[in-house]
Amino acid sequence: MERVEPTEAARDQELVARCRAGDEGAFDELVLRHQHRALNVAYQVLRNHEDACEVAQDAFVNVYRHINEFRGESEFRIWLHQIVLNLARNKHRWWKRRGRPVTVSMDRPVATADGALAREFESSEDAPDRVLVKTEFVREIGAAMERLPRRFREVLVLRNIEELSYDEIARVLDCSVGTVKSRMARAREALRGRIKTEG
Amino acid sequence: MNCQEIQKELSAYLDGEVGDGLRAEMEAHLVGCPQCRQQLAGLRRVAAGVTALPKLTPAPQFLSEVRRKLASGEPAPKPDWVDLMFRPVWLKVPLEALAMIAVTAGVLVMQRPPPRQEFAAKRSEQNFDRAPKARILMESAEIERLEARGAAPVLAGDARNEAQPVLPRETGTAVATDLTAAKTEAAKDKLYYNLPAPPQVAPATPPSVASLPPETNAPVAVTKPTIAPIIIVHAGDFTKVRREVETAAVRMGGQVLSRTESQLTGKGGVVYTFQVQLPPGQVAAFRSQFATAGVGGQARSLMGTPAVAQGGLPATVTATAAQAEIADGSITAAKERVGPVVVEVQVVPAK
Repeated sequence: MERVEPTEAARDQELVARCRAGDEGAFDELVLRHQHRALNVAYQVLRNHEDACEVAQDAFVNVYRHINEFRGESEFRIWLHQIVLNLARNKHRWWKRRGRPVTVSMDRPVATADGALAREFESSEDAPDRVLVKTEFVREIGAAMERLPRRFREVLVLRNIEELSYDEIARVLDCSVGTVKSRMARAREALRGRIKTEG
Repeated sequence: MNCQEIQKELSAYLDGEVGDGLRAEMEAHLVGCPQCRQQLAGLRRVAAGVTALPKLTPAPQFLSEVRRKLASGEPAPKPDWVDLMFRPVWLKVPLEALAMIAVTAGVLVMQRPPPRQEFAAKRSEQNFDRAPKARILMESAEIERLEARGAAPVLAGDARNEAQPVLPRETGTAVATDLTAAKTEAAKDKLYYNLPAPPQVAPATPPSVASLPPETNAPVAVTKPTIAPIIIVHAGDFTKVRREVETAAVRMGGQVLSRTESQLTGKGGVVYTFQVQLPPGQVAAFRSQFATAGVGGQARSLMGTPAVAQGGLPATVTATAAQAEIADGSITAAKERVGPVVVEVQVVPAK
């Protein structure tokens, strides 16, 4: 996912301002611009498609209802990430207390009302500037992610999928940069220890 | 930097989150260290694997579903109780822990007596066990001196009088009428004849402050003893009664706490009052002795019924039913654990 440029952030601010003024179209545009982001952050943390959809939609409901509380001191996407992660944590705990496995296999097809949703594998061929990784290795990473503690998944997703800086991650998670740094190192070491296939 | 320090920073280095100086140092190290290079390659591969994880494409109706939820007024999910109670963890958990500690400490403090009182109670027991005979002898000498020169009246409220207060008496029923009246009148006139407080014997070598327990310099709370019924002895020879009381107290492991003289206003004569501290188990024997031996005389039962009659001095003991339990020696084990018992002996002029 590409990094949000300053112009993107400025566009978000403008849409937020219009939304506050009661412009429903501005809210729709905010949803369309960030639905992919919200859905995938929720999905990578929860590893469950249905829960991820519900959490992402509820996150935008919260955005709409609390848009006047957003003071614009940070970027809109940071605020959105905070909302998504809070809801995902609640959902994760909700299922954990009820004993349901909170993750599903990556190999299982995703069934929705519209039929199966395509999963976009970011293959090595599509990203020549990235390290070449085999599909089998990615599957193993996905399986290992499911076994990681949620707090480790959060920092990995925010960094390697959302491409946030450590400072931005610290703001999303409401912790220090040092905490992000050490948690990231431990998360990667834990993930490395859980995979067998060499990429 | 050694390999361990380098490897600790590799993850941040991979993300471009180290400073220029550290990056240069790490790169210099990596050139010559295949182990750290391998470590870095492993981390890079894992990061690339996470980046390559499959992504979901939002369903076309995503926005309409959000709109439907907004229109239906579906309540937004609220934070669960874990969030309300513990998050943010860094703020709420320490505060809650402190509050819990404070409440627990408060409950414990309220349930336990202050440690100083415990210390005072122990010290009181030790003093009792060691039977300060020296003090008794000294007080006896004082009495004799007082008798020799005649008791000098002092006003109530005098410093000496206050320095040796009469212990509170829980008995309050059926004391001999003439004595009660006499004491009341004496109180009105504020005429008391108190013995001076026993002088404190200084130790040969004062202990150093460091060797004393910390409570030594602090005021010590006195354990409130159990008060037994008053024993009233009608006697013409005060000296004889006094010796009997002192001897009996020491023999039974107790001590004479105080002696007071009171003028019987309007009737002449003097009332001598002893406060004797005794082990609970000795109270009955003590009382019995004064009813039947030594001073002899006519004794009545605790409830006032004449019981023993001997020639010589009559002795009267009056008490409530509860106090009778103590005086009769039928005190329960629980009561015995309370502590020493103070018996008051009043010697009034023989009728």
